[in-house]
Amino acid sequence: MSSSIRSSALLFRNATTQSNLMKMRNRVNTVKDQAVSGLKVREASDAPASWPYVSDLVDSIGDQEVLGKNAGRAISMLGVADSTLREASSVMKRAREVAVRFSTGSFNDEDRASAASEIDGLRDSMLDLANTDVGGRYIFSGNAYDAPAFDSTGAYVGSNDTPTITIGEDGDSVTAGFDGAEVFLDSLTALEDLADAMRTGTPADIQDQIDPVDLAMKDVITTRSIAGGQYKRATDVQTLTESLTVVLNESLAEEVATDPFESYQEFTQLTQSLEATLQLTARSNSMSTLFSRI
Amino acid sequence: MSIRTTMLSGASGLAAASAGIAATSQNVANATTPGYSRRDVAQRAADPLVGRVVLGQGVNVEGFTRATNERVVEQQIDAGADLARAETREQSLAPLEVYLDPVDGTGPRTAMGAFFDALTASARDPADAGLRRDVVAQGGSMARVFNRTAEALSAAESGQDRTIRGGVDDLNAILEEVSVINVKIVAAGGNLRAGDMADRRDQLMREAGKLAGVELDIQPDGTATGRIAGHVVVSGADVRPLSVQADGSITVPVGEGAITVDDKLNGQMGGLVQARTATRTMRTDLDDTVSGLADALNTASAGGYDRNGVAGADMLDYDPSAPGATVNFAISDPDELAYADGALALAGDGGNLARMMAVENTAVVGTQTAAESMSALTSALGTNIRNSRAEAAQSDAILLDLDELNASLSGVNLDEEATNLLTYQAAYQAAAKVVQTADQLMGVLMEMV
Repeated sequence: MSSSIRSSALLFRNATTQSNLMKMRNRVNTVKDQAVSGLKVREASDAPASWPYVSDLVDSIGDQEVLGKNAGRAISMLGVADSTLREASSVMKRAREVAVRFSTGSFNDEDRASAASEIDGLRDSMLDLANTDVGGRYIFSGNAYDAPAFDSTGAYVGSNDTPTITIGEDGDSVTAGFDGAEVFLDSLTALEDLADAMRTGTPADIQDQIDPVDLAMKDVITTRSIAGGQYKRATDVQTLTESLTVVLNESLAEEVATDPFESYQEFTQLTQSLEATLQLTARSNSMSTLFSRI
Repeated sequence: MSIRTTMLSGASGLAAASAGIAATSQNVANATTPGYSRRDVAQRAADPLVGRVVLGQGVNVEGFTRATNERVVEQQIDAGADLARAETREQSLAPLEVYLDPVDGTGPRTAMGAFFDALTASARDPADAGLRRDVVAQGGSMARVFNRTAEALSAAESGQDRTIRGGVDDLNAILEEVSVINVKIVAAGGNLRAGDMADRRDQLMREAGKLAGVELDIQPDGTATGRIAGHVVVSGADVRPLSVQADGSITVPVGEGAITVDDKLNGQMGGLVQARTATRTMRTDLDDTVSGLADALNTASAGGYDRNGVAGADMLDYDPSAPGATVNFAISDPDELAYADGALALAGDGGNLARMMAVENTAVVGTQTAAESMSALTSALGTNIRNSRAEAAQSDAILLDLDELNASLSGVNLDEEATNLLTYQAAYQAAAKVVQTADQLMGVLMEMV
């Protein structure tokens, strides 16, 4: 730039060198901070253009964690519902077997009384199954799931709706409980009627109770298939949230994390340049040699 | 040509050499003085006497010149102002970033995310007291993060305002000093002192440029005229001081009135005004986000029933004059969260909770959701800071070049000064010899009388 180098120019050259030194020191500190924190992007000014994307990633990772837990809760509720309904369908199957056997009329009163007692027992089992809970949450009480679905008389005291659990970011949800009246009321009634027919009715009366038992069993099986479908959706979502969390974390790391090897390499290069510049600064400080010879 | 003339010529040579030594000593003494311009002696052969033999009468010292290029000084002032503006804006805005969602910290957006995550978790079991408690805790935390951010923005804004007022006082003091020096420069004429005054004036104008981007014009009489946005603020002995109005705007007196120059300032004050505008915008945007979010959540809450079957109360209350600073999570009893759609408030009734959760994805500020609004705000701040850094780096490089150019034009070269010193010393000795010889000739002549 200058044709004749004046000593003030030399001073300014030193100022330039010092300014460069400061810039290098700042960069060394930045690289050091990045290596220590593991983050190359901490604040919006580090990457303003991609900041909304980074914020969305951070948000989504949080969302996936919650949704995964929600799906986990739904899975445990639906898992218990499935095994309960399997039990319930076994109960109804057994009741049907008894009904079919006694509808032929070749049994004495004592046998029928004993069979009626068995049906009473099956009805009680069914009531117990209908009042199944997971940690105090009654699966078949509808939304009134903080209390048993049926009272001791067999009257439904739950609500006629189905609770759901949100498992998707768009509010997508799965059923995590059932209207017990829809599932069990017919079964309980059918079992009570069958027991009565066993005690007091003719074989033909018992025969008449087989259809209601079949229909009630269908309610149980239908509900079980709904629970199975919901269970599958919840497990799919849980698997998806797990893999999404991995992908989102990888994407976030790509945006904000430092590569330790790159940091080390840059740090080494910068410290070498810094040392070289320091030596240069020391040498360029000589001013005039002529004055010393006057 | 008389012996007397010879003696006088020799004497003028002595004076010229002395002046040269004076200039050299001044240059050497100020070799490291910032803003010092090298002095040279302006000398020329004295007018000759017209007689039988035409010969000069020695040398005339006409004064001291200042090695300077005013255009470079003006460019230095401009570049200094640009650098100061960018640096000040960056320094003023950068501390705010820590409040706005650093990746490893908490800000409004992360706090909102945590609150809505807690609501979503509540959907697992709307009756669960623990999950409800977490919503209340996250709601309170979100409100406090809004308060803290709004307070940081307000504090930054008042700090910027105070610094602007202080800067105007400093600038007026500098302009006052420039006017005093203008008068002295005219009075001093061409001697060394005038040069010193001009150096001081240039330094002051650099400071005024750095402070507010004052443009400099050097007049033929050596005085400086300073302008801001084309309006004269100092000229000769006159100063037109800047004022800060009650609303914080900066005005320059023009005629009988005053003109606002806020957006025309450069330098530190230009940077501060820009930072203040950006801070105000952020505060307004934050307030809009908070009020939008609060209104949407309160509307959702009002549509449902709490655990006791009571209609939903407001979740967030705020003072409309300062929503960010005053917002408060109004529900302290977790049972009062109105998740239920029906007045029976059944345990699993999360119908209204779904509406509350939907607020997260609802536009509450124009077409933006609360999270998008906060991201846009933070991103804008980040862009502003990054641009400031880039502008500062560019202006810094330009300024360094100009400083170097100015030093090469106006700086002191000690080798050159050492040579000058030897030359002037020899010239002085030679001139003294002439005087001595003339004296001896005069003595010979006198002895003849």
